[in-house]
Amino acid sequence: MEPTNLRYHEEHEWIRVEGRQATLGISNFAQDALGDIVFIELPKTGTVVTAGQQIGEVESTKTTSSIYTPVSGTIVKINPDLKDHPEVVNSDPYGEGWMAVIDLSDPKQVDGLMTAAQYDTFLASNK
Amino acid sequence: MNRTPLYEGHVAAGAKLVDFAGWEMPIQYSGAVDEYQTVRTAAGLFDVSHMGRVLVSGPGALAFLQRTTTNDAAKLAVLESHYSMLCNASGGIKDDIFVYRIKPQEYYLCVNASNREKIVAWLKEQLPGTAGVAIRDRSAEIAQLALQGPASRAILSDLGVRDLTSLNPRHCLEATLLGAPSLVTRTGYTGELGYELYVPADKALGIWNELLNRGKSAGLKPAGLGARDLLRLEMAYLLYGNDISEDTTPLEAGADWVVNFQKGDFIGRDRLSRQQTEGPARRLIAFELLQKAVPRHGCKILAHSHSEGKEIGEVTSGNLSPLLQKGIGLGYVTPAFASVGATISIDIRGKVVPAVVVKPPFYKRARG
Repeated sequence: MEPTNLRYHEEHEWIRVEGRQATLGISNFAQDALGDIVFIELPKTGTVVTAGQQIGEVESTKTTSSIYTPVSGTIVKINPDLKDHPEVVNSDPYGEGWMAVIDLSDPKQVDGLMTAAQYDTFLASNK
Repeated sequence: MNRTPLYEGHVAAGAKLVDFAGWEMPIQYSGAVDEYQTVRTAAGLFDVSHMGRVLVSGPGALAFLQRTTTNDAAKLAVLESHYSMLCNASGGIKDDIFVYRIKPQEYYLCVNASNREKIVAWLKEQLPGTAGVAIRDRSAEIAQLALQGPASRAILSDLGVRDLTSLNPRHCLEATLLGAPSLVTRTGYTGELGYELYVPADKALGIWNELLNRGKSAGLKPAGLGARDLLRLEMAYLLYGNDISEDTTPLEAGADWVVNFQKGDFIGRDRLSRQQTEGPARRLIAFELLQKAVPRHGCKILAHSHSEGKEIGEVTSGNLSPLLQKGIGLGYVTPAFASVGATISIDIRGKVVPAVVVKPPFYKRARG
């Protein structure tokens, strides 16, 4: 079971909402499927993003994967530790491995995302 | 899907298994980068039983290999091996192989898993050209382990294998591993001191487990295909299906050193000889990115470091080098851009990243 305080997206990102801000990362399923993560490219702070848009890339020893934002808004913070320690996303995808904080322009979008229970069902149905 | 005799060992070690050329193989255990570091600093144990082991024997064996392979097999002493290639009549690479002379008239060819059936069939088609040759695919009877890394010699000695210090690169010795007659060869695909062990399939799991137990104190861990790909790329070793295929020749791939034009005729010789005279239209290069990014198979290579650069080739292998912490890769370019120091750029999904052609390998092991 995934953490219940987060919301999930079909592209395997999660967000944690606090007020008008959402912290974004990739799910445990995503990091496990990618294998060892070696480089992460994130947008600059101040970038305006739209729900569904690709905002960055995760490079693992196996492959390249896009990072999508499930919500619209402005990037206000990126995780500075990932530049030198991208492997933190493997070891702690829901904690130290967070990627960006987005100032939400349409907080109602969050209601359209999956709960932990729904995401678990989604993962099980895609096996 | 096919499973090697070591399948149970992989499951027990917590491997993540993937389909590799029809084989259920471990891509990683603890993690590709961790296993890579283990091989560079201690030792890793790989299951490479998915590769094919084909015995070519008989009084005509040498003549047969001279006709079907590009390297000069007459140079092989008994218990010596070398890298070689099998080409089609157009000089395209059917497979890149290792040839082991294990007895005066017996040779093992170690072929790629993805090519095994194709190569066994092709070798049999060539039989009518030479008398006194038998071909047997012994892949299922023999398992193949690769023990690689600076601690590999001590670990293998501990298992009772003698004379390892005098075993030179590419040479082999016959040994008994846990009572099983085995062939120990000083070969590998990692750039480290290392050995490959050819053991009876029914004894393979016992030998695998014993090596892991005994080697634990020296830092030995099982290592998967993910680590193997990082290790070989840092050595600029070719990977069939990525860097070479029937559409590329040994000369284009920079493997001129395994093509011997002096030994007499061989399949593909005419075309390769002509290509050598005229010069290949493209050459395989090794390159490093000048800013942090990860090149991948299929990325376009552009002339010069600006987006208007015209396309001059394509990346065939790429990854982030754990050693250099830079994007590195191999790819084909037109000869004008193939010299060391040439400035090129790589189109990585629309982003143009400057790169420089370097002299392979990327990893140079300290001798001692």
